[in-house]
This record gives sequence, structure tokens and C-alpha cells, in this order.
Amino acid sequence: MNTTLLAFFIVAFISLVAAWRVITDPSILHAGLWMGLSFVGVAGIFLLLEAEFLAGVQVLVYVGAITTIILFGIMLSDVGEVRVGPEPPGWVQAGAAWHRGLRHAFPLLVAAGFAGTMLGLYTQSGWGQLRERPLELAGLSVGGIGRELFSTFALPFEIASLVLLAALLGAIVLAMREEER
Amino acid sequence: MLAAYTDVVTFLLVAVLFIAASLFLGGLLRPHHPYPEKLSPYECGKAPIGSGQVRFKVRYYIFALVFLVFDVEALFLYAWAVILRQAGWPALWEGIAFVALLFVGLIYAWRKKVLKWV
Amino acid sequence: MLVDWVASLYQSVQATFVAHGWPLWVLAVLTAVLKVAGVLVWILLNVLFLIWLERKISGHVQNRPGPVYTGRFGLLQTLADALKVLLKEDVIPAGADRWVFVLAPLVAFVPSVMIWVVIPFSRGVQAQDLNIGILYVAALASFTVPSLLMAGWSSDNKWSLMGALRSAAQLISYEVPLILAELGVVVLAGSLRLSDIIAAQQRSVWFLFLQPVGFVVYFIAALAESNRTPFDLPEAESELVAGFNTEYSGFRWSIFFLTEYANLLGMASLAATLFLGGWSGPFLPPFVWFVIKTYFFVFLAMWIRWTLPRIRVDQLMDLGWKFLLPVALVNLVVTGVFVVL
Repeated sequence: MNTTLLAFFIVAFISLVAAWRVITDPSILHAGLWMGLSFVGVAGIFLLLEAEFLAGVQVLVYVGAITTIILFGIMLSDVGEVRVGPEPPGWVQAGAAWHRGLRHAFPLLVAAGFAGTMLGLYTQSGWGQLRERPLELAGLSVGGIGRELFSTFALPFEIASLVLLAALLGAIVLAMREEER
Repeated sequence: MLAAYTDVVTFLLVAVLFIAASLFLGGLLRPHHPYPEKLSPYECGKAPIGSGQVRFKVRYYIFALVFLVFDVEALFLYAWAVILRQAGWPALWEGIAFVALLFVGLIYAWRKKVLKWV
Repeated sequence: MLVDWVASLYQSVQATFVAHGWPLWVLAVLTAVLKVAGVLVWILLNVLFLIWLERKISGHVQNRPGPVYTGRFGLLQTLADALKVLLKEDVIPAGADRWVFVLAPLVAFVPSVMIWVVIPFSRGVQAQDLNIGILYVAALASFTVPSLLMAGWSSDNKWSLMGALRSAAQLISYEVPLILAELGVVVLAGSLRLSDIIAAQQRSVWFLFLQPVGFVVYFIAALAESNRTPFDLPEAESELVAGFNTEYSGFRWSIFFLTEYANLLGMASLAATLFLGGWSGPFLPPFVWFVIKTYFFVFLAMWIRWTLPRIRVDQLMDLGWKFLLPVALVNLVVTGVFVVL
């Protein structure tokens, strides 16, 4: 097995285990930290795809900003730990069974839909053929991304700044309302 | 390119190893006499009151949100800064428009007194 | 000279590897381990010296001699202190979140070592000249906030948490101006690589003269990022006991201390590389220039620390968001116009 593949399996394992712990860890703060680790793992995968700029950006934004926001949010809120209560009696369980079935089916449905969309996109994109021909290395460097961003994708880039502005204004409005309370 | 990052990973592993080894070696030398008073949190000599994990005001969170927006802006500007010299005027105007829009956001936040520490 | 010798040694070892058909990644890992060993020695020696220097400077600023008894000029004082700290009991509070408590110093310290991968010490002496040089440093710096929050939260102590939150708020307020000031340099050099940035300065002049505003923003923001007075609110002794590391003791505490000085050194050498042309300079060997320029910034930071009083938290936020951020944005745009013209 070559080293890149081995590295991929290690990094993928770390991010998947971290992602799994985000859902299962009873302490919500630990869940936030696991999420940070999972983000670092994703940065590692970008690196293995030779997209070092994206890897740097991934760490800068997702570890530096998103994880920080999540940790702040946890420290400001009152949910310390998610506790599982005692088992309810049998007849309650039976009565709630179909309801719970629905409740369990819905996330599964959403997850399946998302996975389907992603797989569909993947088959459409022609990334499968990338294995055969070598990666266009120039396109993945900072300069390559910059050149594309400021010529072909100039309009989406400006729209991105509008989206950011909207996010900023939205955050301000929400925060002001929260503080008045 | 990936070869360059073996150094990065090695630096990470060796730094972790260095700390682990020093903690381990120190553990052979240092005393260990815990008792409840020593293990209780420090509150200026008094017995601690309540949990140490108190809640904080939302102001911190607002700053974090504003920071997120400007952090994302900065990452776009990385790509902009690298190619500007080659790309010339069109890229310059696009960059100025991008920065100007977020400047408006900054001024809005300023005027709404969001950036004021209370 | 030494560099050439090492390069030729490396080539002969590489030839041996190829001749025997040994896998080359073993060689890569071996050289990487040697590099990181060198960097660790460099950091530790400098931190020992920096702590002594800080105590000497603070002493002389306050009209007293500083450490004098241990060794000549008290030079061995830090070594004695390091030994003492190693022998101190390691207390983990009963209410602490053990894993997070143990991991927090690690998350703080490891990035401060990893940034040295890209710092150029001399001509061709750089562990790896990564394409994303500056971005790599900025990305690693972003681990600081989570590490502080981890330390503050897991200690189960109100002072720790208060210090950590303050520290985090301060760090995120100064991170954007810091990045934008660095980008001014990137616009001029047209590259994120530190070697390209030095080469660009060799072609023209030190970027300090082309980016005076950017330099001032960078320096103020870097002082704030390394939590030094006048920006030491997070560990304001007079109100927060010791801030986020109140509950840490012994060697575990000294990891944070080590990190702080390693970061000061890293910040100073990055400033030397970005604004003073790095190792380039006439007459003296390149490495000597690198050390002189780095220590110039170190001295400046220490001088400021022992001269200025601590600022208030609202002044801190105002300075970051209402002064440095707009100034850095305008500086970046003006630099862009200047470059394109």
C-alpha cells in the first residue's frame, strides 16, 4: 500500500471517529471539541488532494472561527450535559413506538436524501476520471484559485460578499434582540 | 507537494512526544500528595461557591459572529492579494467592491453600537 | 558554508540510500526528525534566554538589577527555575474535566513549534518552504483560542473561565487586523511563500518602508495576540488571579509559559521576515542578521511591556474593531492601487 493511501485512511478514520463522537458524546462541550478535531481531519483530506490553500483555509475558518463560535455558544447557554432519562414503562414505549418510528425515520430520510444528492453530483461531475489523468496542479494553487475567482467567477465572488454582509446584518439584528431581553 | 508536509506531521508528532516525555520524566521526580482541599478550585482562599462553569453575557458571542464574517472575508483576500499584481485593474475593482461592501457592514455594526463593550 | 556542507552531506546520504535501494521516505522522516530536533533546541535555548532577558529588562526599567546570583549576570536563573518547576507537584483539581485539562496545554504548545516549519533562518535554511507560508502560520495561530477555552472551561474555576473568555474575545478581535496587515505584504510580494517575500524585499527595499501603516497594525495586533502588556487583560494578576491557567501547576503550567515565549519569538521572527527583509543584509552572515532583527522586535515588545500600563477592556475592543480593522482594510486597498498603478 502506498503512503498516500495509508495517510488517507488514517485521516479519514480520525475525522469519522471524531464526527461519530460529536453525536454520541454526552458532554456537549466535548462534542464541540470533537467537531474541531473532525474539521482538522477534513483539512488533512484537502491536503492529500494537493489542495493546500483549501486546507489552510479550512483550519483558519473552521477551527479558528466556527469551533470558537460553537464553544462560545456552549459556554453562554445553559445546556451542560445531555442526559438520557430512565426507561419509561412498557405500555408507554409501545404507545410511543410508531411516533418514535416516525421520529427516527425522518432523520434517516434526510440523511439518505443528502447522500443521494451528493452521490448524484459526484457521478455528474466526472471526478471519477481524475484518477486516470494527473491533477491540474496549477489550478489548485492559491494563484490558480485567485485567477479563476477574479475572472470566471467574479460575479459569484461579489455575491459572496453580499451573502457575508447579509450574515453580518442578520447576526447583528438577532444579537440586539437577544440582548434587549 | 505532499512530501513537504511530512515535515509538518513530523513536527506535530515530535512536539507532542516532547511534552509527553517531559511530563513522564517529571512524574518520576515530583511529589504527589493530593488531599481534598488541595484539589478544590482556587477562589482566593475561600471555599469555592457554586460551579466553576458560570454563564457569560451574550456580548462575547456577537464579537465572535462579527469575527467569523471578517475571517471569511480575509480568506478571499488571500487569493486576491496573491494574484493582484498579475491580474491588474479588473481584479482590483472587484476587490475594492468586495471590501467596500463589508466596510458598510462594519459601519452598520459600529452605528448600532454592537462593537461597544458594555 | 555550513549550509553547503550540510547540503552535500545530505546529497551523499541520499546517494547511499538510492544505491542500496532503501526507501526514500525513511530518509525524509529522518531529516524531518533532525529538523524538528534543531527547532526544539532553538526554541528552548531562546526561551531560556528570553525569560532571563525579560527579567533583566524589567529590572532595569524599574531601576533594580534583576537576577544576579545564579551564574554570570544571573544567566542561569531560568535554568534553575526550569528545574524547580519540573520538581513541583502536578495538581489536577478534583472538579476538572481531566482529558480537556490535560490536552489544553498540548493544543497551545504544538502549533507554536509547528510554525517554525516555514520560518527562514538563513539563505536556504528553512525546514520547508510551503507554498501557503503565511496562511500556514495564520491557520496554526487559530488553535490558540480553542486551547484557551479548553483550559478555562476544564479547570472548574471562575477565574480561569473568565480569563479564557476575555482572552478569546481579545484574540479574535486582533486576528483579522493581523491577517490584513500581513496581506499588505503579500500584495507587494505576490506570493504567500516566505522565501518569495524575502526575495521581493531584496529586489526593492524592506517592506517596512513600503508598508509603514501595515507594519504598525501588525505590531500592535501581534502584541495583542501574544497577550503582552498593554494587552495582558486575560491574565491581569490584580483582578483575575492568573487568568486561564490559574489551576495549572508545575510542569503543566510551564508549558503555557513556554508557549507564550515561543510565540513571542515566532511573532518577532515573522515580523523580521515580513517587514525587515528576514536574513538578508550586508557584511554579517545571514543568520546573524536574522537573530539581530528578531531580537530587535523582542526587545521592542519587552520595552513596551514594562513601560505602558494595561488598557481597559472597552479600549481594547475599540482599538481592535474601530481603529485597527478599518485602518488595515484601507491600507490593503491603497496598497492594491499602488501595486496595480
